Amino acid sequence: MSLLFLLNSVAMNMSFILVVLSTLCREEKRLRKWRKMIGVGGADWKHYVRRKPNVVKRRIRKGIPDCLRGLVWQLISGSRDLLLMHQGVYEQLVLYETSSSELDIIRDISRTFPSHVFFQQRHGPGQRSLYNVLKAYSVYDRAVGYVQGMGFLAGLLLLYMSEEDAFWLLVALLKGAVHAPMEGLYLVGLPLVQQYLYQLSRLVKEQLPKLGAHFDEEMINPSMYASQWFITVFSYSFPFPLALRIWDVFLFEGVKIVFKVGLALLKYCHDDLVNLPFEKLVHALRNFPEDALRPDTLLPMAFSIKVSKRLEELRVEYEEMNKSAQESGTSLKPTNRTRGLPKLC
Amino acid sequence: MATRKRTLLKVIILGDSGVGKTSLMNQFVNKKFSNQYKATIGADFLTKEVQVEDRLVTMQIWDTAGQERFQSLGVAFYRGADCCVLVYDVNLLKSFESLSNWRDEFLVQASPSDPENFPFMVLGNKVDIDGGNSRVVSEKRAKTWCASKGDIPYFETSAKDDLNVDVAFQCIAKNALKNETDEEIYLPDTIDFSSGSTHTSSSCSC
Repeated sequence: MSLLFLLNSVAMNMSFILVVLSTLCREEKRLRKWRKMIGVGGADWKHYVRRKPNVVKRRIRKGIPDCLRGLVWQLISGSRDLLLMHQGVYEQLVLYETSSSELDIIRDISRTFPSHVFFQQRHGPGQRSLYNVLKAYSVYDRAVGYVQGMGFLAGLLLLYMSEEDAFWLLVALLKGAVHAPMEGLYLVGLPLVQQYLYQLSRLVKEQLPKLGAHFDEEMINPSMYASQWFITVFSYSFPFPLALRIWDVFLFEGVKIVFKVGLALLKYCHDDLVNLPFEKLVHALRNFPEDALRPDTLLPMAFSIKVSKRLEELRVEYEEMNKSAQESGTSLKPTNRTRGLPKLC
Repeated sequence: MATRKRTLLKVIILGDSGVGKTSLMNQFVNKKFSNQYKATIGADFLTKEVQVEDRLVTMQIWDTAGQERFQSLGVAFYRGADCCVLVYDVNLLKSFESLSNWRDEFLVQASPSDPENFPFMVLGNKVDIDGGNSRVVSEKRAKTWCASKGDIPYFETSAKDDLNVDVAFQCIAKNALKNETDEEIYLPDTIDFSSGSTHTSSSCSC
């Protein structure tokens, strides 16, 4: 009896060890594939992407290995090239220029990822780097300057790369090195936020009509829950493991992943959301349940949602709507634009 | 006896970035203070049920981002507000000077039917800091400003020490409710507005 028990527990332990070993092996194999794809210091990357774009896309959707994430992010965002073209510029911006946003930045430093160990220490290395990157950006692009929300982008980047690398990645994103520029999220009037919110509200109505109608009934406006999805690309309040996986795809495929993830979240929670009254609804839209935020559940769902074509059509529609509103002189201000939304949807 | 419908009050908190809007809301709703609030992006939202006289009132509180650039997102939150709470930091002159702008911006965007009598409330927050030694806006100055804008009720608060937070929000509920009943030409026979505030460092018209 006891021998049987012993054998049994040995077998169980063995199978546990085998599972761990096979996971390790799989991880090792995955890393080897990634290393081969990147080459030494990123030397083979461009060549590989040109030759096998779909393989790269598929591998990125499965998640970039954490130890390579910083490097790969710089390669896919185009920031590495910017850095090489502008050697010494970052140092100049940090050391010799002054910015009118300095006080605003300082005020928000301790309010950016306040519970993350890297940013927790007052005047510690995390907070100092964050300040430098944001200050440098506010000088580099004075039209944008510093806007709340940018700190979360910079903060996330700083967990994976140096200050200078993070700065150039921020530049690549806002100025549009590879994808459409993001600076409209932060310019006066937040024009791109307004556009994205319009597109999202339309997509919700088209893809989740029952929920869209319920939002209308309860007078839920997408700015009540989704503006921070766009402004911080899900880095503000979503768990890091999910945010990182979204960023992997975001940097390679562009902003459409933000719409897809947003729609997937609404779809996943659809049956609960359609029954909630206004207050509970707003709360639920800002506090999704833990199981909805698991990357391996949410992301496959997001990937299955098609938005590219419709997003482009809605962008054109939005621009035309804005243009005609401006011509009639009614919608110069973004506030009026928002006001006009429900009628036009 | 007639059954009362649940009353909903929509309250908007405005003021410069970092004056403590999120902290005040959380202290009032959750009775908690944290040094670890993130800067508000867009807007945040909490609700609380309060008892005003014999009425049960649900307060829907919108906490907004303080940076000027986010004002363009504000309209969705301003519309239909029953009360607007303007917050400044007594240790920061600029945040006090911004109150006029916040008030005007609110009136433009929310366009209430009777702007002259729309219920505002001003909170001078962070009175705890440095035992009050670093304050730069005196209570007198704040009250003078409030008086000049149509007798806006004023409270000095500390979200950190939970000073005057509950009293202020109770007053907010009362005033908003008063406005509502006035609008409906409803005789508020069950609401007693004559009881004054017992706090010396605060004033409330309710």
